Amino acid sequence: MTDIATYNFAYLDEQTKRMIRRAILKGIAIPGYQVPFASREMPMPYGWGTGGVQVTASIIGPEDVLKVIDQGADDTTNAVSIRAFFKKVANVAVTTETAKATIIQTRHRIPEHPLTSGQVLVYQVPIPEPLRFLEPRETETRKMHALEEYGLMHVKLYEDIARHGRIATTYAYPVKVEGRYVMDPSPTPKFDNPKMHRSPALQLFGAGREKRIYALPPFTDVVSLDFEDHPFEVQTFDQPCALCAAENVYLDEVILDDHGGHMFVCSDTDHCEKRREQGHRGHLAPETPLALEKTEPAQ
Amino acid sequence: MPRVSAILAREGLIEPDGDMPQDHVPGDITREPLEFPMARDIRLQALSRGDEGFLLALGYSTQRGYARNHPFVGEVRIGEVELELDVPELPFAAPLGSVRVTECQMVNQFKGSAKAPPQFTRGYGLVFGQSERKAMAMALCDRALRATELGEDVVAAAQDEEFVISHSDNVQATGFVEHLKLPHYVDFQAELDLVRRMRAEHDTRENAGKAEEKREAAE
Repeated sequence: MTDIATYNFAYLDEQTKRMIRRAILKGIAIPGYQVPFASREMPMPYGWGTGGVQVTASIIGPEDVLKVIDQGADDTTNAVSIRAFFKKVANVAVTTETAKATIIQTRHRIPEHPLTSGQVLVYQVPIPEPLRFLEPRETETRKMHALEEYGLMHVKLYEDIARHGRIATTYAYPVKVEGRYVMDPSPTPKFDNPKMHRSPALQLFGAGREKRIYALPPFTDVVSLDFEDHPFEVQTFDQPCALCAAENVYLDEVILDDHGGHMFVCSDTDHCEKRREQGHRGHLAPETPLALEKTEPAQ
Repeated sequence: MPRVSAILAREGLIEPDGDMPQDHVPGDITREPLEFPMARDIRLQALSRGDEGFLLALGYSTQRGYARNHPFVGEVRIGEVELELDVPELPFAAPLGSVRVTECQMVNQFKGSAKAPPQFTRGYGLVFGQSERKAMAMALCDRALRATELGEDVVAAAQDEEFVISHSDNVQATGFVEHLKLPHYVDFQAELDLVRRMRAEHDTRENAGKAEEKREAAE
């Protein structure tokens, strides 16, 4: 390690971390409010998790155990790169096991395994503004939040019902936080929305390109927007996971051949592996048991 | 070296270079998040870092009539400037050397408005390297973005500060466009499920409608 350039712990300089921590604290104090912060250029492209990485870098300590997922999987390219980044610049222990992680950085999913008190979930957020697709101007949307003027969003959801018979938003489904701010939960499927409600874990959201941080302190009310006669519903699947037979989890459709053959498997790879270790078998599960190294200690 | 625009200024034919209030501390877009509307110093910094192709196209659009403001190049010059770096953890500015920049003073026609008398107005461009094209494009965009300040109607994209400045950084634009290469199968699955359900309902309605028609025809 000594013959190559060394980094300040977790890459960012201490002044930057202090600035980001202040933004995080403000976010925690005003749940669901988007706090502008002086996002830095990171050694990765905008849109690839620069916000999440800056939040993680500002809260991580040498004793932390980090898990990184993209689409629910630990072995996707973005997750692998970010995990390797923190192994290098913070020399922390990393894991794929949800229960063993103290910090989980995520893109597009919330783990199936319930989070517990003391864990922090860091979301990578592309567009933090839930009203952006209704009103592209930041000057306007900030005013709408300030005046709690969310009529436009309800009209959009109502028009969905009038046109399609249902609310046609399936991911990044807007939520109301503590009865005040309408918030974008990042592009997680709406299946994951109920997991945010009164979660014992701290949830932090970082949008690097858009320079915004927001937060949900533990046990915060997070309610998905809906109507009395069209209550919010999550996705359901007709079949269990083909590998671990799990039900009531979010599934990905995996193409098997050129003729439209497919199977549905857990998007949360850790959850699926855990279940297979416990002996659960789906109808397409291979015979040989898994032998995977789950946790790597700090060097 | 005196500027060409200073000669025009002697006759009062061109507006002054523009002053910030005495106590104004120049902004720094690398250290503070952008907020709209923004002061001109911040806007010029953002334009300076702006993507050349983006500024070129917007500048070109003003020449073709979208917020037309006939420009004359007052001056384009190229030179070396010294570069110092303020490191937060060092008590002094560290000299790094010099860097080549290109500067453009654009002189624009202006018939006057409720706010200002008829005179030539300025657009300013300052860019890294030897790039007359980008410096001129930036000056055109800067002038267009001064619409509100000069009391002009905002009617075209090049005059829209939030639109121009939010999309001019090509590191941001590149990252966000190329992030589409990352997997999105979880949200795609959610959309797939919805489209399948809606198609199934559509088919059910169609078939029910056809059956009804047949029944009516038979009667």
